[in-house]
Amino acid sequence: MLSEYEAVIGLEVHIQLKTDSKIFCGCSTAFGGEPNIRVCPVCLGMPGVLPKINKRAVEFTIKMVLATAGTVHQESIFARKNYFYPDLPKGYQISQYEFPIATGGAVIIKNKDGEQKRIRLSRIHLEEEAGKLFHDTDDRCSYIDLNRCGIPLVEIVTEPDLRSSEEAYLFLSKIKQIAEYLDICTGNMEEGAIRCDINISVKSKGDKNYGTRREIKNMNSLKFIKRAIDYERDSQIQIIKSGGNISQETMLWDEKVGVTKLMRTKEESEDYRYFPEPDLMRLEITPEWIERVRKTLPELPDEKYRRFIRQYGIPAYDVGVLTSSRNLADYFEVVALVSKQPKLASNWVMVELMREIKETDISRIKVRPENLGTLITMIAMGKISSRSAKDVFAEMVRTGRNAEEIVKAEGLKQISDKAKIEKVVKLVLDNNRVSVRKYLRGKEGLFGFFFGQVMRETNGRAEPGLVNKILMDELNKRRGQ
Amino acid sequence: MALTYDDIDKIARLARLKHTPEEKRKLLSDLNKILEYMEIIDEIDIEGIDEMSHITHQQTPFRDDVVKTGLSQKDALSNAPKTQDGLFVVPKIIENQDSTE
Repeated sequence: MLSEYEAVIGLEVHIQLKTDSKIFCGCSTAFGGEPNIRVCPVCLGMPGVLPKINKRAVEFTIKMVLATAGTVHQESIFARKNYFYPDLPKGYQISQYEFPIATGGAVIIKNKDGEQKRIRLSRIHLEEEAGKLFHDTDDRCSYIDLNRCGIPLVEIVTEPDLRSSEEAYLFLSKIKQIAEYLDICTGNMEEGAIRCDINISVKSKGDKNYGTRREIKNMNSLKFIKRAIDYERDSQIQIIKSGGNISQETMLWDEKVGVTKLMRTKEESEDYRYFPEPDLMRLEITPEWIERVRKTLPELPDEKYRRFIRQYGIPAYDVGVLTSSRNLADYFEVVALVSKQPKLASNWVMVELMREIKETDISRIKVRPENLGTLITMIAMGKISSRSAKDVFAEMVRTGRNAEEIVKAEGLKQISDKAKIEKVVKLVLDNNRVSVRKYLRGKEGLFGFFFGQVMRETNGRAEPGLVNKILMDELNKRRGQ
Repeated sequence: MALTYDDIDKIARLARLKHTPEEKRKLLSDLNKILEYMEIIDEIDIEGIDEMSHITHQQTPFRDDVVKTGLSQKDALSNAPKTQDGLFVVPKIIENQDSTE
């Protein structure tokens, strides 16, 4: 039933900038702690105060624009967006309207089959964050914390180029990734550092005209964004199929029930009466400034992806995972360069390290990447078995000591001494005479049992290839006896 | 262009204000007088002058990204009619929703 229709989706993404101070005053942008402790007359909207713009907030915005190939305008203008809501003490939000910092640009998304799609951006502008409201604890009152009020926000508006919840998910993940690479946002969605509004309509596939759209406001979880889009798409299709019309409405996602609910109709829609902000003059961004910022851009996700494929010759899937975050990519590079074993490095980072990261943050991992590199070199050179390498790694995770030290102290060095292994093999075979007889009479499956015994006797340190060979020889010797 | 009572109602709704019919009559007449006065500006010949948002050609000054201590929580809340646990308290707002758009 759904296949005749498709969703047409545009997003407005809000990214909290990681500046130290707020956009128009010197209050800290830190997260958490007591309410209303990072406020001043400017962000509280007291009469007679004047905003003064944070230069770094502008610089971060320029970075985002350059990273998405948009055009930075030499001149842009701030505007007042007027509405009453208690999380906005001035009664207006300083935003941008007709003359944003940037227009155009695009983001390339890639689905799991590797197909690429270009999502065009219509504009990028700078504005201020509102405070935080709480309603849960009381029926008659709402509570306001204005610590967040005035944190710089970059708003990225897309063209209606997205066609599914999956594409919206990929787009947001990409924006998050780029912002993280640029180091302009914490990327912490639980703390609301990235949020988005979703504009969605449905139309018959092949129909050139778009349907009437509804907007779902203020989503901050990738999982719920996907669900909200799917729910809203299906519900719009149902309405159309049953002969109804979609009207332009604003919806809210109710995550407890898993449905979108009407927030306001078009008739109730706000009239924001935008006008140029008289307290701020025009924002000038010179070409020289733009060039200076361009020079500070790091290698971006797509570039890094291509380089890793080229330089390390590891599978595209691995590269996708390793470049998902800049910290992880940097970590991997050190491991790969120190060990000179890119594929092994990739396996270790993606399996063993990622398992640890899941529970913490890569920056808090005690294992230095160069130490993991050394560990991998030791595996590659046959100095320790993969099995004991895992124990060494566990120890590294716990203590942060380096691999060589642990191997030395714990006696984990791989046994490659032929005589030593021979001794163990003989011991194992002598202790299992019945099984040896069975083996020699044709029960060859017992080979694995002998092998396991040898490994156990050596605490997994015997070089497996050598054990295999010696065991085979010793068993053959006993054939004649 | 003269305002109507519908305009007054709309502006009042946006400003969250309520007026008696008597107040509305007075507001309508006052506002229309102000607008008439402003219409004098229409007589100025602006041929060849670009649209502008600010009358000076200055650019907005920048501030370095430096944290400064603001108000204490006590001072920040001191003008509020109602507070609780360091928070401003207001009459219940509709849905669980922040406004930034």
